[in-house]
Amino acid sequence: MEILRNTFDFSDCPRSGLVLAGIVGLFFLCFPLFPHSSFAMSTLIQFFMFSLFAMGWNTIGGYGGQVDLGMAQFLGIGAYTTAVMIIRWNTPFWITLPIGVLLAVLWSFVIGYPLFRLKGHYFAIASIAASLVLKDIFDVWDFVGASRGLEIPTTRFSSPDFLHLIFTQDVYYYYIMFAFFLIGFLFINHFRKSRLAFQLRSIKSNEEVARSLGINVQWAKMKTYAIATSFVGAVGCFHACYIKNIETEDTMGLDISILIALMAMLGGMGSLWGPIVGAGILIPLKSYLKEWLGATAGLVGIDLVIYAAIIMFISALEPRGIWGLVGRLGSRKTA
Amino acid sequence: MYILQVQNLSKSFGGLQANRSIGFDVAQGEMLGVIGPNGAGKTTLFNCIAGVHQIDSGRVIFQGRRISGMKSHEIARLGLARTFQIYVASGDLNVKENIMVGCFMRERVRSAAAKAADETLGLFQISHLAKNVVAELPIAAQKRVAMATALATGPRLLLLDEVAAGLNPNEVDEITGLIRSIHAKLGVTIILIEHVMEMVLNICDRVIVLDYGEKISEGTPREVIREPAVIKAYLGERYARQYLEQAENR
Repeated sequence: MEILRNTFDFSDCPRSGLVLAGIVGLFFLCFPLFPHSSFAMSTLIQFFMFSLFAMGWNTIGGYGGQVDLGMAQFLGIGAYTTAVMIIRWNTPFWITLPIGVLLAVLWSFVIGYPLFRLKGHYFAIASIAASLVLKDIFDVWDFVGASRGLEIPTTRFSSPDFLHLIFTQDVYYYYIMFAFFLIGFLFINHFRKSRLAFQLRSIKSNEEVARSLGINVQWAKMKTYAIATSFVGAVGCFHACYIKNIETEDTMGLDISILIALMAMLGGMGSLWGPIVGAGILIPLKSYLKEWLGATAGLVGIDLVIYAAIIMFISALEPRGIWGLVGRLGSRKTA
Repeated sequence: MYILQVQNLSKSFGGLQANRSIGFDVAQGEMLGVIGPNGAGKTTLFNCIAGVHQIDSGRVIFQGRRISGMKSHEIARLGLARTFQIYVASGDLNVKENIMVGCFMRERVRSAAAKAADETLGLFQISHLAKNVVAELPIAAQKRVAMATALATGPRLLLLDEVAAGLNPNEVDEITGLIRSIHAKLGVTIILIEHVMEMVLNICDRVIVLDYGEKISEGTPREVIREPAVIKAYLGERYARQYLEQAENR
């Protein structure tokens, strides 16, 4: 009962914010009905996907203060699980989804156990290393297509195939991802009021004090890591069906890990809305940068420079991100 | 019935012997003071009891159960809480949320933890500060929050590390009264490290004195301040005489 109440209780958010969120939500719901370009559609699908990545990252990184820069490895695990199972055994997507999530969570325990003995920058570096090592393994592992990658043959399925999640029209992917997004959002609304979230915030401020309050620091971090990785893993499974062409560089690259962390940081760490705000800013930016600067001007890689600049600006000016800025302006108004 | 027994506890850091075969017992419901000069090993002793440090030799027995060798969060769950000398205020948690973290040790759901936190806030007379950020509070209020958070875990034994340090005489009186009232109301056994001798003389049933990692004296506060070894190591002649007069006049 308490869980249900927490999931749907937004009473601590300002009324005006909720109205705005409702309007934006309504827009998302109706968006495919309006005339739109396929570019806008795919940008919005990416926005939902990356919002979920950032929401997942925000549990361990924002609430728990453990800056993980290896989230892409779990995206890869989810994506490859689904791709391999659909291609080899024709398994329905909805069966590959829990298996992909389970494998991602299992892997999170395997690397989380040693990783969470490290702190601060050491943890961040080790998480990058773990992710890149897994990427290298996938690059030479023939079972998952090695460096050739995997391609889900669309001709085998007649669109719309809801069982295998193979569609020729993006609108189906759009609504499925939107549903994922809503479920993930409600879960985070429950999570932020849970015992675990309080324990994490205590750990973030001082681990020794947290221990003295009976918190098993290592276990709390590992549990949260499992939550974070199941978010990323689940969207990874979807990614396989959506993109259909899986390569290690696109699914497990360092730039994806950094982008995920950056979204949560930019939007506001440890807040419900932060990751969504961050994704809402960075995803359109990323798409347009790729289109204009990458393709038109031939400045490949300039997007990374811009991300780096954003990181520096956030950490110097407002460590709590845009959401922190909003909060500060709001409190000034009322004061 | 002893709630805590410390037997032959030794701890060294490299070449520095911070605690040298220290032994003492604490009775249920007692208020024990730990005094001694800076660097005598008082905080190390607390850290050894609370499981922050693993001890080199000896035993710590809490409620008949050996706790030396256990992890600090396990010891906390058995009912041993502590405050820290340098209280690092909890980042983005406000006062009530801080105390809720303590309550969450026994409670599973937020509504129950919030209710328990409200009671603790009332007990410490800080209900009006519930929404404040800890770091922005004056030091006396921060110390109250630290004590309230530790007590929110529902301990049987509470270790207080210099809760009166940095407070003015009025605030010392207030916090002394507070400690006395939680001791009486909740029946929790308290061990406190303190430099403010007035407070120790006022509320402690018994005192142990540490110097260079060794226990040099043990007894009631009045007995201890007469001991030549304690006067030499810690109090000094003049203050010893002054405290003695205070104690006689009381």
